[in-house]
Amino acid sequence: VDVSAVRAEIKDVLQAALTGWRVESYLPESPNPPCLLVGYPTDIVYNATLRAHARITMPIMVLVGAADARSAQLRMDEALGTDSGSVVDALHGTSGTAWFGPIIVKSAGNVGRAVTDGGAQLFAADIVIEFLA
Amino acid sequence: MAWEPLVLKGSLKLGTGSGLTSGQLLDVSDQVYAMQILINRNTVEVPATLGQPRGTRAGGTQYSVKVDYLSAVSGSGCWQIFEAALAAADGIVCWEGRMTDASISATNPSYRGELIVTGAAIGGTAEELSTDSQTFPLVSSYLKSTS
Repeated sequence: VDVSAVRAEIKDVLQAALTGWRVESYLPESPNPPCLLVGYPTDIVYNATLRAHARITMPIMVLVGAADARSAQLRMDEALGTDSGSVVDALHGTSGTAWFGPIIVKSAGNVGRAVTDGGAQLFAADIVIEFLA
Repeated sequence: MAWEPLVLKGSLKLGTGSGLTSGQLLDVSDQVYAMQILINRNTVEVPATLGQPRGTRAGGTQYSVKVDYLSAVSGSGCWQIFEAALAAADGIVCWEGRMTDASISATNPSYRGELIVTGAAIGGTAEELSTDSQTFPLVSSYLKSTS
């Protein structure tokens, strides 16, 4: 499993499907919202099949600036929904070369406020995806 | 060689029909997440006689293979092979498997035989991978190769 390649390809899929979002395949020192960050795997189950595919769970972090609360929440709604322009619509069922089979977008959570090291107010959420690689 | 526990990391090849060679089988190892070869023996109840009390004796032996697999509606894989076998009159699938990915040897034999497909399923829980678990009886015993 090439985790870096997986993260890079997921980033490309999101960037191609969604407009108005900066998408990063790594966790930047200083995020620039609105952005989607392909997070680090929270769980890797090795040897999920006889061919040693791994089952990977990882978050897609959604960050929007919270200077204007209403517009921030509308932007978050767009990402967390299931319509066109959402992360679910962009990723769910997507096949790739760096992973095996379709991506399953499992859930969203951890919605709330966050503050960057620089003191910027953010609205944040995690969208959890799962796939074999 | 000293005893050591087996960690399953083998292979499984399948093909619909009987009498297939190894080269005609499809490697489905990337779809299989559990595999077991099972041997069960039936028992026979012996009626009591004046000289011998009622008892149990060894009966015939039944071989079977248990396969847990991922399934898909497209491409070639376990589901397609089992579905084709279920549509055939004899329901036979040739199989060949190993328990580790090491070379075939006395400590890592290759098993092959013919199984009878008795069922298969596709689908499952919404928004989860489609999986199935089946245990199929073998037509007879397996052939074990060590080289």
